[in-house]
Amino acid sequence: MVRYIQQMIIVIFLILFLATLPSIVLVDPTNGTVSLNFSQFPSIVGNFFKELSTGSLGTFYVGMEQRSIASEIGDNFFTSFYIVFVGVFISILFSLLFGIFLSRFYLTKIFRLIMNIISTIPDFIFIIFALLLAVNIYKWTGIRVVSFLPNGGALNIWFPMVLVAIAPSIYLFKLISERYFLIAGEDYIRTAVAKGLKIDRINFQHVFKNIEPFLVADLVKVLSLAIGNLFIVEYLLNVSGLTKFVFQSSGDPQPIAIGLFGMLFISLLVFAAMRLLLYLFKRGFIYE
Amino acid sequence: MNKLYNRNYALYLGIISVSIVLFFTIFGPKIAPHSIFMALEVKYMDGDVISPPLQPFESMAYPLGTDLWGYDLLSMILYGLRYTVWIAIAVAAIKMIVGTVLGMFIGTWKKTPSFIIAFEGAWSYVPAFLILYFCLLPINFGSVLETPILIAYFIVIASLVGIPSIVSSVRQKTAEIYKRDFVLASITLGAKRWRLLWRNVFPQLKESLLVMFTMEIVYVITIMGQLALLNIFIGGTIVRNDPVIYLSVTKELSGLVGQARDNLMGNQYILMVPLIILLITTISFSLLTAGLKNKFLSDYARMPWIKTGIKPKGKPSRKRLGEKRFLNFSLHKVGFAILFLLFVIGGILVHQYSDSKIGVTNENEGGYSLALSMVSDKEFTVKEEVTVKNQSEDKWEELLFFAPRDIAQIERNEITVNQENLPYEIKDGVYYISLPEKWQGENQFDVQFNYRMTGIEDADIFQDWYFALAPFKNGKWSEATKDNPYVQHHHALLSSFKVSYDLQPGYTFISSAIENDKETVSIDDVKNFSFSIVSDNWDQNERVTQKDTQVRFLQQSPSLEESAEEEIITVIDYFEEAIAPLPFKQVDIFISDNLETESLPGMVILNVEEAQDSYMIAKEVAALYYASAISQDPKNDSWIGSGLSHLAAYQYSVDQGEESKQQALAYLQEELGALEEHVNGSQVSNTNIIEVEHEAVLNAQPAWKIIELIEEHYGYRGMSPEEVGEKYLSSFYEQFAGREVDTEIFLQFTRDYFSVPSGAFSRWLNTEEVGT
Repeated sequence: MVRYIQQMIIVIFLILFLATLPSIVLVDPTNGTVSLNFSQFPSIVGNFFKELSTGSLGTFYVGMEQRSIASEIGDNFFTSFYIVFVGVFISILFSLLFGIFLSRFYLTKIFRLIMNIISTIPDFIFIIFALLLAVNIYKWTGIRVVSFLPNGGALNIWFPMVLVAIAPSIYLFKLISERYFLIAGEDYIRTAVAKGLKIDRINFQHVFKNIEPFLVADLVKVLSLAIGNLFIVEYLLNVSGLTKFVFQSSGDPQPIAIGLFGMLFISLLVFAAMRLLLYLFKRGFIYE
Repeated sequence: MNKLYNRNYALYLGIISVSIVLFFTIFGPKIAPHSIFMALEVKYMDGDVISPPLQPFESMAYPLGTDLWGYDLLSMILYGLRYTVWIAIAVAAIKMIVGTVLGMFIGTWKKTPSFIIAFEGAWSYVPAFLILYFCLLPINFGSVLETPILIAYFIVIASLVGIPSIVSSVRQKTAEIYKRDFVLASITLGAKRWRLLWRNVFPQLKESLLVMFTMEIVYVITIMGQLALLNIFIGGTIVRNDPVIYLSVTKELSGLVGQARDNLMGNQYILMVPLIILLITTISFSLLTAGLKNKFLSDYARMPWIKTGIKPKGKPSRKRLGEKRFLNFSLHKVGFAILFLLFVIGGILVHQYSDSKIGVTNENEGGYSLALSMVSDKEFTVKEEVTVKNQSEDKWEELLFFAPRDIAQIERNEITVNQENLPYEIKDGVYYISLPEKWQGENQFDVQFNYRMTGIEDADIFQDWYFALAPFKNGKWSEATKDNPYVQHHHALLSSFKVSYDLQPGYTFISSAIENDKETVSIDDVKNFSFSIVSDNWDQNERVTQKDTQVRFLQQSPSLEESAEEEIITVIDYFEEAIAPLPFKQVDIFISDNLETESLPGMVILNVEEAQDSYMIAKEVAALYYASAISQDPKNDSWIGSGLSHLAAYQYSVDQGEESKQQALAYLQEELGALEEHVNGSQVSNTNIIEVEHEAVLNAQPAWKIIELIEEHYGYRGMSPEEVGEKYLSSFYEQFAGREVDTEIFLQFTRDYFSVPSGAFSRWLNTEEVGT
């Protein structure tokens, strides 16, 4: 518990630090030196909390127009939340399915091959390739696969979901496959095999149970990957999610901090939701 | 079959492709066909307008096409790849070293403090590129900081951001190993912590550390790419307004991708090309990672009891105790050796290729061997042997030699080729030796001349005293320089000379190539070999410059005071400091009333009157660099030598103080004034030499225009015009010493140096015809 509180404090501090960084770093153009002006930090943080205490979230600029964050954050928050939630859900589902339960089938061989190929491609390159492909599909066939308009509805949101799912899927799938391979060599598996248990049963009762702790432990990492890609995807695909506040505010600490805290909140929600799903799965299928 | 299928191809492919990538990071800029500062300009070619952006494969000169502004994509990639790869390797290495040491150390603690775990958790939650984004956002734009500093910042910050995750995984692995029995055994035997770490823990970790290292390289490249999408380019972002454009300073690959991001809809190849190269780079490292993982998996893993669908590839390699593994023959070692050899040979070839590309390359070569003997006071016999090499694709029907300058001196001559007497024709001082059909396909000819010449009374300077092979290029022999008042030399190849001599007593042989008291001298890569023979009546005086070059002063009647010699030495010292050490072991300075001021390879001849003028001295000394050690075809390009010599003289005057600077400017202005009066309208400096109407076209005009260029654009290269002028001269010399240049090469170099379009030269150079 203490550790979680410590962790939260560190994350909050880190977010405030990042949000204020553009105001703290001073570049002296005459002799080209960089200096850090930490004395700014307390006042910026103070202003941030003062703004929150008045019940408003502050304002941000779109071009020259000043807008209230509170009036826009709702839609943006849910857009980002859906993307991350679906992305992480897909990645856990696929990696568990192909990593453990279907791992021995020929079909998985193809899936593994595809995953291996995709995993050699860095996410951002994959995202650009996917975009190029989408643009070219429209050019060749006239079918609009994606939309870059923020109000494009489903066309605007399904593509980001898939793109966000890719990196965590690869990560989790590799992790689970490796673990599966290692665990399959353990003595208790030999005992289970010797007892004549079916493979599916061993997978559920022996393997999954031993992989789950690793899955939970790496959930934070998976979320981090998803959030990281969310930034890129929202930015490139012009999705109006929370990253809008982070990238469009040109160094203004208020919207950056709000955006990052929103992200933190999203990942907490998704984390909790995934733990819940895993718990339900365990209660439903696995003997304790 | 199974044996073939079971090989660890990922590892082989990974090692080969990583070697190729590393090869290009080291030698890329040497292969690059264009400069990254020089844009393709709109031009007509065979009735077509060629204008940027060029598609890939549209023009052979721009194989991967150009970007919207005409910069060659292939060249940018070859220049940028080194930044991408080596920055990634540097960051990964720092992360791994610091992370491993810290992680192993913390891993041995009985209990890891919860704040460390909390910190790791919190840190791993925030995406690394986001932290870097906010760190670099305030400093990366508008090149306030210099590129190397920005790169260093990136390396340091990226390493710091990445270290916690490495510490975390190394710490966990160490803690796990620390519980094993062999560690306990070592502890029982009295091993201390350091021994445990290095002898017991580290050997268990080293394979996974290696895998982590290669994985981290890809990871760093990914972060660089993510940053680039947000317009943070490693090494600095140039921002152009109207419309807002972001450009990468270093042309680093992910930066190229980032700056081409707007080409998603049209001209997609501008985005695709660097993206694909970046992809190939990362795939190479990923393959290496996968291959290593495979190898270690097959070496160490226990086989599973149930069917998992995962099978390690490759045969496990086992260590046998007491075996001398280094000496064992294995295919892998041979493979490695071949790869290494290919790397080295490739490097040498690339080096030679890029070396041969600098300057004008003529397609033939001549090596001279001359034997000179003094028969009497006024007569010499010369036996000249020239080894001529044909390096072109063409078959020669004749050989062309330029005759010695004053042809009347020759009394009897006889010419043999490959020991056979051949017929020849003489036209305007050019000897056309026609080759019989049987030799026309040959690539090498030994030509021999025997002739007599008359010379010296008291002293004589021999220049153009031998039969000089005409340069051959693009299927044509170079023409003889027609009569004109400015340049008397013929176009000459840079060749090697070996001269032996045999003099009557009372005379001295003086040459820049001389080695004391030997009767043969040799010198390489000079455009002509000049020497002088003086009688003992001449006053000789030797001095040494700060850089240990010998300077020999020869005066007929000691007419000048010490101060003049001092001035000359000051000039040489200045040039040796600002440009380069003199290209000759020894420089001979002749000062005499009845000689014309002139500069020859290794020799400066000063008329007494002009020996008083420091500008003139500087100009003639500078000509040793720019007109002697760098060759030009006198027909159109002799202005380069004389113009740059004047520029160098101006730089010297600037160095000497305001007063001499004003004098130099006044001199140049006066010359230009004379030019204006003399020439109707204007005349470009690369006019054919016989049409040149005034000397200033060849010297004052180019010097003045380059000074103007420096004054306008020095900010691009340095702090002050003076400093940039010196740097420009020394870089030009450094690049082209011992080579031939022409107007096109001058343009390329200077445009590149100051990043200006060729339009900047159009008022004083004909930029249209060059290069076609």
